[in-house]
Amino acid sequence: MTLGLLFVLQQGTPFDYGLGARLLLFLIIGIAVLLAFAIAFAISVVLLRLKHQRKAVKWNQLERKWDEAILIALEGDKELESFWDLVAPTEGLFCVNYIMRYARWLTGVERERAIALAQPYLLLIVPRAEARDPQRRARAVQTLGELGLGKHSDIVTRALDDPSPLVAMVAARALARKEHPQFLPPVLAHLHRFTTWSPNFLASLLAAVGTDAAPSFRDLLQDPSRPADVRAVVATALGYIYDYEAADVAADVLAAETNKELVTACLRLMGRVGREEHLPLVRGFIESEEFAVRAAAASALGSLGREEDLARLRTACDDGSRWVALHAARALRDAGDVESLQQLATSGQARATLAMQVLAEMDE
Amino acid sequence: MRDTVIMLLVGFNGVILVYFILLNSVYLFTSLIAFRDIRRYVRRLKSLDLGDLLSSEGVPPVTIVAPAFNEEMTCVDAVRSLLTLEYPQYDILVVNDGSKDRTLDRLTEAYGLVNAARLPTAEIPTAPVRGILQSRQYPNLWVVDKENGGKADALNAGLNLCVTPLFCAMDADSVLERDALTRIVRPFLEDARTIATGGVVRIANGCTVEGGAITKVGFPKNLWARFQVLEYLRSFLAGRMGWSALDATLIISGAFGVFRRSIVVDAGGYATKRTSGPTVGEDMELVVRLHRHCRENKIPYKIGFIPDPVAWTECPETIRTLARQRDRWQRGMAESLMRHSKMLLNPRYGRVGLAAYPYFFFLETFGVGVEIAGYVAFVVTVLMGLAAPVYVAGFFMAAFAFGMVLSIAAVGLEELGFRRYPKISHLTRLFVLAAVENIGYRQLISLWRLHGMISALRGVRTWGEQERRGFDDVPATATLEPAESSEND
Repeated sequence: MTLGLLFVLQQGTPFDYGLGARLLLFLIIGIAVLLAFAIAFAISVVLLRLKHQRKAVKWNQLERKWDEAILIALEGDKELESFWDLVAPTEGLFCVNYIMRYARWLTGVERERAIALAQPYLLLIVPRAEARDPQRRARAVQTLGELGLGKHSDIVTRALDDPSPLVAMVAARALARKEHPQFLPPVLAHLHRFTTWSPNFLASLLAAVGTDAAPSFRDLLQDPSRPADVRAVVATALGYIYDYEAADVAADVLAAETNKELVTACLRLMGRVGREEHLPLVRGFIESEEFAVRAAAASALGSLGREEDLARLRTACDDGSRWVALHAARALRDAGDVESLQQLATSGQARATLAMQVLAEMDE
Repeated sequence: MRDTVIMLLVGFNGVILVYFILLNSVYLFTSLIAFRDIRRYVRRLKSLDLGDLLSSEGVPPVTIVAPAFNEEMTCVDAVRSLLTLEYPQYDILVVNDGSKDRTLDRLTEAYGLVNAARLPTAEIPTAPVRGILQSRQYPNLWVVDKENGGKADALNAGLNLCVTPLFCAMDADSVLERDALTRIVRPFLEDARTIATGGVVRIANGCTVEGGAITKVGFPKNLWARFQVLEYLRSFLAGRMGWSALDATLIISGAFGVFRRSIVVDAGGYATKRTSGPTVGEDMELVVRLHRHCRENKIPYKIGFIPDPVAWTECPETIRTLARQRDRWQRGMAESLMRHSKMLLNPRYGRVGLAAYPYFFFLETFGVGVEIAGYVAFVVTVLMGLAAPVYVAGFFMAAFAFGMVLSIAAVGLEELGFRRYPKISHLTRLFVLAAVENIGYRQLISLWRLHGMISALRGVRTWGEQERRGFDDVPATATLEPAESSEND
């Protein structure tokens, strides 16, 4: 393709004055540089592979050395020192990473032992929490959050204000744990930083703290000064942990708020934890202009509703939105009104397919 | 007369020079950006725990939509592979697009399919749906049996029946890695604005497939397939990663991408003759249209590419099928870009309109015409005795070396992050290919792309036959061996 350029070099005046020769030299140098780059890249790739292979070999050796010892130490059959004796001074960082693999999956006494095992090496991690590279900081915060919250909780809590959203999120995930509900308040105070995350995923992260967190969640839910999206997230979290006391708070919110996401989240919460006295409030939303709100109200009625609500749900099966209809049909099923679904399924009406689908789901 | 020809050649050579410099500068730039981002990405992965995602109640359910046309050789194993994915909640929707072979029978026999009811959640027009079936053994496995309408039409049929917030579009004969869904959904969790994410497609030829999963990565024996291994590395790790880092992703492979259902439905689904007009590049067209839809409706959005979720796919091993594939790809790209030419150099569409679109339009789509014309100009130049051999050799060497640098850089990106090709011998083969592909292979590809571009301008829209070798001759374990199927629009 570019060879056509040769023509340029051969023709025209500039090249008659020695420029052609200079360009040829330039071309040769360019080719040499490119080839040198190609060779250098290739050598780098091979060296990188060899480095990775050496690292893999090193890990294999360490695993062979530590595998048995860590199991013994975690079971408490020997003192922790017996494991530490196997860790050479240069192997501290490897050791922390190695213990992390176990600690993530352990609970109770074994987890405490794993954390104790890591303590002598965590000081190697602390400077990394201040590294320039956010990915490196995130890894350090994750490690300290998993293994060093006892001594280094200040570093992890401070990371909630880290300019990198990744670091802040890693810190939040480390702090929002069932084992240490005392760290929840700073996470809740920083929730606004995470509102770009998927609300359901964020809610499930908060719910991981468990029922101890419910009072804080309820406080946040009923606080009108907090952003609606943040309140919607905690409403979802309250639903995940089935906090029955949250029903009254949700009722207050439903009575006062109009934000679609917040109302939908509160209706879903009602569906999980609501009581009969909340029914009048929920019923009002089955007529909402927003299809997501109507769908959530239909689901809630399926859980809470009484005989008189079945007619509403049957009507909702013909809703203009298929999503509302689907939720209403499933709500009928949850309310035990299989007969209506069977009638609809054999009616030949437009939504007969929907009824058949929901009836079939009962057999799965 | 001769002087006029000479003047024209001189002028044209200038155009070629600009094209060459621009194209390679962009390649180099995206490679450098990709280098930076893959390093970051690999470190970022270390601070994330996929297990956390899998155990989370907040992970969105996904529907995998897999169009199948005459896939009797591969469909049962492909579905078995999908059934073993590690993901908390997902549906599999195989869309039998009017297969003329025993695709539906084989699926019915293997998975105990029975007639089932499923209410459509959208009404994107498609070819008539003949029936919906559900597996008795696996309630999350559904098969939609419909009349033939092409891949995009089949995807729309699946989309109509999708009840999950996300759907995964893939080829029925591709093999997803077990954690591929978990990995590709992550951007949707980390940023609620994400509406589409593409994953890496790798070449399965030469790999060992066991129980529907790639268990041993190998290098293809076929030379055409080997070239494509290198090409895919360059395209995905350097190209798409680079453009994604610039927030200007224009292509998500039809073999593996996850989309937010609601936004795709709002945008009208995949382009077919029943929707916004047919195209053979429905995957690219959709992504371009999503950009346009979101920008024009002021919807905050993100479309990106991530390099760790992997789909393995079979690539053509004969010159005939490779030519057809490249011809089709080029037509698809040209059709997509011509259809939305309003976006070209239009600041309203941000980086996509000002950077990615012009690049793909001028350099990748129509630039191939300049490239081939450059070869012709070279021949004319030589025949007219106007070029000194030393310069000819020099420029050949320059183009050769530049291509080699870029290809080896792509191998470097693979090594930096993923190392799927485990042996040193794999690396050395890739290096050799990086040199050899510049002599003949690249020129052939350009020729086929030129043909595709001309076909697009002429409005040709056939898919052409696509030979496949099939993943398994033996159900449990096999290395890829010949089989044949086709897909038509």
